[in-house]
Amino acid sequence: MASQSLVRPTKASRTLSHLLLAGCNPLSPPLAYTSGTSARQSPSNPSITPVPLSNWLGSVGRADDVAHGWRLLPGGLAAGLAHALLAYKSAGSDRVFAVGRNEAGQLGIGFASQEETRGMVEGFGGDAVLQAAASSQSSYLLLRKQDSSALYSFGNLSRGRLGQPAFYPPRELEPHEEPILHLLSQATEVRLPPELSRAKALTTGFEHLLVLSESGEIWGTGCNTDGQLGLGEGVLEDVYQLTQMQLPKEVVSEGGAAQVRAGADTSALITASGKVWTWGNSEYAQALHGRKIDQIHVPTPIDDSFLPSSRRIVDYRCGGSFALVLDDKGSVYSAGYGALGLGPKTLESQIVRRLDTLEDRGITRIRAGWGWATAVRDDGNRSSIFSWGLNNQHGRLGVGALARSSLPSPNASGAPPPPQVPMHVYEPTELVLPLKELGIEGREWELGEVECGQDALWAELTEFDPEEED
Amino acid sequence: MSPTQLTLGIIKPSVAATQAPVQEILKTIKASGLEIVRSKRIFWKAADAEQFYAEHAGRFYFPRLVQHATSGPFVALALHGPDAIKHWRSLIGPTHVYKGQWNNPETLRARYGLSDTRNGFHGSDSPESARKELAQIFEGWDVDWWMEQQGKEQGRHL
Repeated sequence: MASQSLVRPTKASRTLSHLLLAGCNPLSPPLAYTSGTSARQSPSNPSITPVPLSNWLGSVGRADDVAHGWRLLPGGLAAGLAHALLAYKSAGSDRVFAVGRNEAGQLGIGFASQEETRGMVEGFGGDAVLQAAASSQSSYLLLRKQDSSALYSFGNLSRGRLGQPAFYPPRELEPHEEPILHLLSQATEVRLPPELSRAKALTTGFEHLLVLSESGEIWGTGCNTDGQLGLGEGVLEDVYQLTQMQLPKEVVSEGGAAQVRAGADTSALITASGKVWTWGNSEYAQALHGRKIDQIHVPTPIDDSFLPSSRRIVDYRCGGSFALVLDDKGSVYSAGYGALGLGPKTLESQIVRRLDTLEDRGITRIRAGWGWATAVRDDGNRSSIFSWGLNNQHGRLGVGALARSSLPSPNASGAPPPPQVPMHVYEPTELVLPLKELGIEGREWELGEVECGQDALWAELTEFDPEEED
Repeated sequence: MSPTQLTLGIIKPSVAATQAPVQEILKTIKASGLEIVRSKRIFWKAADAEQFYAEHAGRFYFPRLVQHATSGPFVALALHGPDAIKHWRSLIGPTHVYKGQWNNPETLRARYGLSDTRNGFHGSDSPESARKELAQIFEGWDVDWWMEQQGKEQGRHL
């Protein structure tokens, strides 16, 4: 199976990338078989395992990219509710492959479909893909275009999540008219306000989008019923076009926001000095103010008294009812409800607590899915992924299947029964990466992009060809 | 045997968006012993949702209830069976999905809901609200007459 995902590099290439997944493989079966390979792909992957992106690309006419080798772009992996965007570079060109659920046209391949499918996203223009983002029935691509930026969106227009005021909201309905769904199944350029000519990052909650400009300002569109867009108490309804937030003067004096984050119905900004300001929903204290607040309408500084004085916050991630913080020494903290990673006795904490099991593990990245989380150690071929929280029936945490209490009994169709997985994982658990399967034990490799979708954990592993090394 | 009741079950837009989960859920409902006696796919205008959720008007979460309910089509079901109101509410589980996913993982909201707001399901909370909600959703359906006919049917089979 491993050999099916290997792309033999050309002479010019020094690296070889593999796409890994835990949880639900959206193209299996039957689509995984259509490329003429016998690679058996299971829909349930309770352990993190290679998936044949090369076959997938070949099946949509990009065999050339397979031959030249591909590598995901930084920020190019986006994992949404049940679909993913993979922006990659091959032979000097940036391309975007989309895979998964497509009922709202969120794959951007020209149609909406009830079945899960895949295809190449077409119809966007620019010099380089800066970032891909995906959430609930929505997708976004941010591109550099000469001296400015271009933003494209596709999927379900409802609630203004795509920031396309020319298409949504629809005009008032006549009394005899019924509402209909408004979908964009092709990448469609978002008209950026003139002041937002240079955008540098995107982030998405369930149904809202935040855009960070190079000058540190934040613009938002979409679901705002909990104040997710930080527009103040006066605006607590959905917003249909990118609208600028007013930043607190303390943030402005630091040069604006350095990073912007959203997860579910909560939003955050991080300044260059590591100050975190949050807004939106905090019914579980997941906005880190030490108490539950139904709705926060403007950016509000978190209670960072949990942080040792010599430390600086480098990331904040919100997974719905909980949030994670990473500091510059690799300590990870959590608060809220659910996937706190603090053991079975602590499912709820309004106070931010440190995850002692991750101490001295060299954590460099944190990610939060909705109800679950991962932490990554980047350290060459000693890199690792830890995950915890709510599993799904396909095993998205990647921590493996439970040993069966009795012998597996094939069902009527003769297929083996689906794996049984631990549904609740209370503490960070190190994943067994498929190094043996990939045949790269003892070789040089590193982790690339890692993202938590709702259905699956996606990760890129890149090996370095020893013979080609300088 | 407890007396039979009618209740309103709703599969909300976030779950009703794709066919596969809806089919699974309908199977689960039938297997649990509830009978689906009416079903309808509906796409609400804001005024419809505001009427439906009128008792929550003014609460901080009212706009998000209404805006979610009108974000796409949903599936409405008239469910019939012994103690149907309680039966359906225990099948869907607690309102708060974030907690249900940890404490009641077998319930429909924990399995298909996304968040406390997008919890995937609605169930009438009393015979009075069931009557009122069924009347709004299945306009023109005389619920009392229907129940009376059911009673006669059952009487005949005793």
